Amino acid sequence: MIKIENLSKSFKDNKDEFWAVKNVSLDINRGEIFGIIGLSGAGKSTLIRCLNRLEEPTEGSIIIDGVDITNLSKGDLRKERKEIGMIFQHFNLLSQKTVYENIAFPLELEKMDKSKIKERVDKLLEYVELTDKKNAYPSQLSGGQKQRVAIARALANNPKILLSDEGTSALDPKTTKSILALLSKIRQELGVTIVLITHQMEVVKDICDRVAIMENGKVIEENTVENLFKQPKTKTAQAFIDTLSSNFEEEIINPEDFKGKLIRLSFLGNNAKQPIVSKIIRNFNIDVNILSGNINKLQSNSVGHLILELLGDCEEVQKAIEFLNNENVHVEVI
Amino acid sequence: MAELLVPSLLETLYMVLLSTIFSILIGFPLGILLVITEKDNIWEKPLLNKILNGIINVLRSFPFLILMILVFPLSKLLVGKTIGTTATIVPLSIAAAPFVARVMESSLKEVDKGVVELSLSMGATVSQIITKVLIPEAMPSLVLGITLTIINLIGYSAMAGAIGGGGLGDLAIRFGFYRFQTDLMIVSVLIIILLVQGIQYLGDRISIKINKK
Repeated sequence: MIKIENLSKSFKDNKDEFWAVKNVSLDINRGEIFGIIGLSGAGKSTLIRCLNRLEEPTEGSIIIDGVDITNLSKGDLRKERKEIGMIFQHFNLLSQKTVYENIAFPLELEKMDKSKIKERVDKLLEYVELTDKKNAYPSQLSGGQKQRVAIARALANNPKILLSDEGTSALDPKTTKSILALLSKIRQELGVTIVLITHQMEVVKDICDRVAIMENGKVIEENTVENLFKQPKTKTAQAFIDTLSSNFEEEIINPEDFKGKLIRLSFLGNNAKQPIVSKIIRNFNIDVNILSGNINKLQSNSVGHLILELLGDCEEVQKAIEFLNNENVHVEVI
Repeated sequence: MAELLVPSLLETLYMVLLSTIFSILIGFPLGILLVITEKDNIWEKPLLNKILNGIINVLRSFPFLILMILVFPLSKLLVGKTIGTTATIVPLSIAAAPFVARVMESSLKEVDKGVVELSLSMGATVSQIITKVLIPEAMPSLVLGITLTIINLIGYSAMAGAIGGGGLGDLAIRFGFYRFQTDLMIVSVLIIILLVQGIQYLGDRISIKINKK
């Protein structure tokens, strides 16, 4: 559906020329959620802005449904842009307009008549679950609500493509999840093709079908998300996957799902050399179930975490925890 | 005293009101042009931008009294005479217009670049961005700019009194200063101070009231 061929974009600063995007070619299929991940400065933001020509590409072509975007006249480009919704990291809501007026904005640009606008906006408000905030101003909304308004606004013209420029980067993890769920729903129910850029591997893991990894203006790896996790081809990809490991445990381990007492042990560096787990099993009448473990490398040291389930008599469990405390291991009951 | 003060106050209000309107009519479009013709803005025209900047700087450099005398021919053409309250509106408007342009320019520049980018991404035209995005988003700041303009014009109008413009400034000089009617001078100045305070207060309140940010 979107065919990017040998796309390059350079910025000239006096006499220096800087290639933000260099020779990028990608094929994005209809109805897929395609992620572009990279560190800041990798050129991903410039790339996604080329897709609706907020940035003018220097070389190459972008063909959307058979139309070469790079050759469109200003008037035709404006028409094409209405087919491509976009959301931004900082939401870009009109601060002096209400939620309703913000969503109505693209329709007003179309000079749609008032009653039709009302019908459409009310439907969109319902879709993003913000009907009760209809008359609120952006300053009265939380980050997640602001992004929902922005999404509703981006959908107002029934676009075939939705671009997300770091759409969840300014949000906390929980809100990020809810926005990602909304994007998923949009793809599923409205068949919108979504192209998103991010620096968070979590976003890719959660909703993308395929992903391109960018570094220094180039796509260094393109893969399905599944294969990327199974067998990353580049070091950068591996590094992005590694950023996830410490986040995994919070998601899968819910204390209410376990019968025993859950504890998290933290070891710093040399502390890890003692066979503590076997010691507590031998010394106390309890069973131990290892749920997860990982090591995070910090700047100066490594921190290891172990999550255990302690099963057994309440008193014995309490004694074991006391024992661990005396062994200089940080114990946290979850 | 009142028979002197009331007509003078009315003259001042008349001069300030009309010259505010005219200076905004001239200055506001110029301010918009200054912004949109800038590099990387929505209607990039570097040459036009340079020319406008030049003209505005030159106009702003003129001492007001000299400017007044320079536009005598224009006043004559537009209102048929060169002195009097109505005639003074011409130089007042011309003097304030470049000021208005600069004030509007800086207000419009405060608008978040992100919302302009968003409007472009939705296929908005340049004129739609100006009328539906830039002006409404800058409105609280524009109101403060207009307040500033009115206060400036009260000051200018007092000076204009010196060459036959009438108004409170004229009264303070002619009766208060030259004829040693100190009480009249003090009252005139007090009224001007009250006027400035009142307008500033009102402008601040309106700006806060309409600002939803």
